[in-house]
Amino acid sequence: MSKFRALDIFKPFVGIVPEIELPYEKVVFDEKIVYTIGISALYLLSSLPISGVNPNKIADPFNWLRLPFASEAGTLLEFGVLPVLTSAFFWQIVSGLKIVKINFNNLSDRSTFQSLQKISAVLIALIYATILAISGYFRPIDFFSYQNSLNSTTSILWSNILIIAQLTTSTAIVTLLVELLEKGYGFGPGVMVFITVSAATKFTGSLFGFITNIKSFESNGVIVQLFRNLFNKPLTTGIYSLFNRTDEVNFTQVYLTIIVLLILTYIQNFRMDISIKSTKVRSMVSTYPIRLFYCGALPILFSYTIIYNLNIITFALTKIFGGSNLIANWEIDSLTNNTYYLTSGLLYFISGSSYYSNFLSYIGKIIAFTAFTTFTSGIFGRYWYAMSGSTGKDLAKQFKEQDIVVVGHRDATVAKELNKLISSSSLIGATILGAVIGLAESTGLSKGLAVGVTTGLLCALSLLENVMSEYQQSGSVNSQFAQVFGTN
Amino acid sequence: MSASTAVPGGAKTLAKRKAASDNKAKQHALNQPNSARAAGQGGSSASMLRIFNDEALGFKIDPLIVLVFAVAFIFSVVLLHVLAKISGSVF
Repeated sequence: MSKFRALDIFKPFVGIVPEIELPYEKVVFDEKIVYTIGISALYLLSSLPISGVNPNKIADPFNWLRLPFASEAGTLLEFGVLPVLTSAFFWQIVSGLKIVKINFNNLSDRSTFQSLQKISAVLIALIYATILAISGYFRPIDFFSYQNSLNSTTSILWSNILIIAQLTTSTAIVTLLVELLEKGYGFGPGVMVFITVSAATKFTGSLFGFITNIKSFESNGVIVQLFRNLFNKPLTTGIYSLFNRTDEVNFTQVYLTIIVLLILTYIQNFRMDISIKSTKVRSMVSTYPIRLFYCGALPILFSYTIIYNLNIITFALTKIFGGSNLIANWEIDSLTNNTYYLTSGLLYFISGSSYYSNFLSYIGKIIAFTAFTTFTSGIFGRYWYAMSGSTGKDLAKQFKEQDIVVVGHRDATVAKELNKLISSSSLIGATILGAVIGLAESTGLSKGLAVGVTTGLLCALSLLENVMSEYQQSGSVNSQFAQVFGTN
Repeated sequence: MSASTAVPGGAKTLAKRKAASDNKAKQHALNQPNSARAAGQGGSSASMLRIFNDEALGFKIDPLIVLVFAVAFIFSVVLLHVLAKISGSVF
């Protein structure tokens, strides 16, 4: 066919992209676990400060968005998995809606599409790093350090180029690590592994962390600090200050997170069990669950991907070109000098900013933010199951290949029946997820902890499904792991 | 002989054939998979967003090289920090 296709533009670049080989033989279960743990450790290790940037001295306007993307301000993980997520969501949705036509039956098309997502992830990081560097985001915020950095012998241009190079390279490495995990060396979608690991470390750190913050002289962990306060301060002030400290995680955030976690783990159990049986084995009826959260954590991740991208672009452009008060307005936290608050403008209304100017706009923000996350998550849930090849038709096909029939339905009606369940559960589940997290985050009390920990948990559950099915199918074959934990 | 007897062939039949083949092409286009998993090749599922499942073109590298590269990059940044501390500036 001589028709012009958008995919062909990228063909020439495919050759220069590093591509990890598929494993020659199937990687054994133990090795996969070692790879997964090792790579997540490597990921966490790379959260070290960018050379030329002092993370303690920059003001971070995105701190309430960071946790679901495993990113850390001023470090090599400045963007975390955001570029990878953005490009994956963008291209898969664009191709899923058939705006860009890709023949997925064709191997060369599929692999070009895959390289395209990889290239655009790195490209996104390059663009964001550039605009943020130009906007002066990486410059120290306090006056003296700023003057010092201006007077130093190195020019700003060179240090900016160095910062951009480091961030682009680190994103390329993150992308390669994701690829490594997904190509069968490790477990599951690499993005989700990183989100899970980062959420887990952040949450345990915010409860039991011993590290002392050099600014506020308080421990990372709120419980550790509680004991320190009990011995050093009067009882009431000691406890009260832990509920509204701003430098580290406070008790309000932790309790809000736990409430959201409880609600969502409760809803996570909602499912419809379809009775299935094999056509080959007699009298073996088992169940196939269709969960209410059919799309897992993806709907809320999608909402937050939109918000995070909007925030980065708007912040950088506002700092470079001045911007407009109608779109967004950032004000630096004059007390701590380490965050910018969104104070007004359109972006304020879809933010988890804790800034409070008057009652009406605050209530408006709560409603607008909740509506935004609910709506975007719901839309995502409405269309994603069809874009990801998880419709009733696909499931019915899968059943048929494995000689499974649904009890009480003829072959012809199975797809339709499954679709009825899947479409409604996907839409309703995504909407509920967006609404609960949106409501928790809209108040500005949780500052991203609730959404981070819950996405981490939901990602972990999806991953665990992967790990367990692998373990039950082939894990027990000469595995040290199976010897310790037993087989089933 | 009834009046409705039409002569076979001609423009009408051609139009019908074209309509039928167009319709078929349209149906075919509609039934094309819109994702790798829909084509039965792995890829993103409902609850998991993945990118990589085929071996694409490009220069092939061993997984170990990626790990070594990542560690080397981390150490080079650490080295930059050390150099900055020593010389008192970024370089």
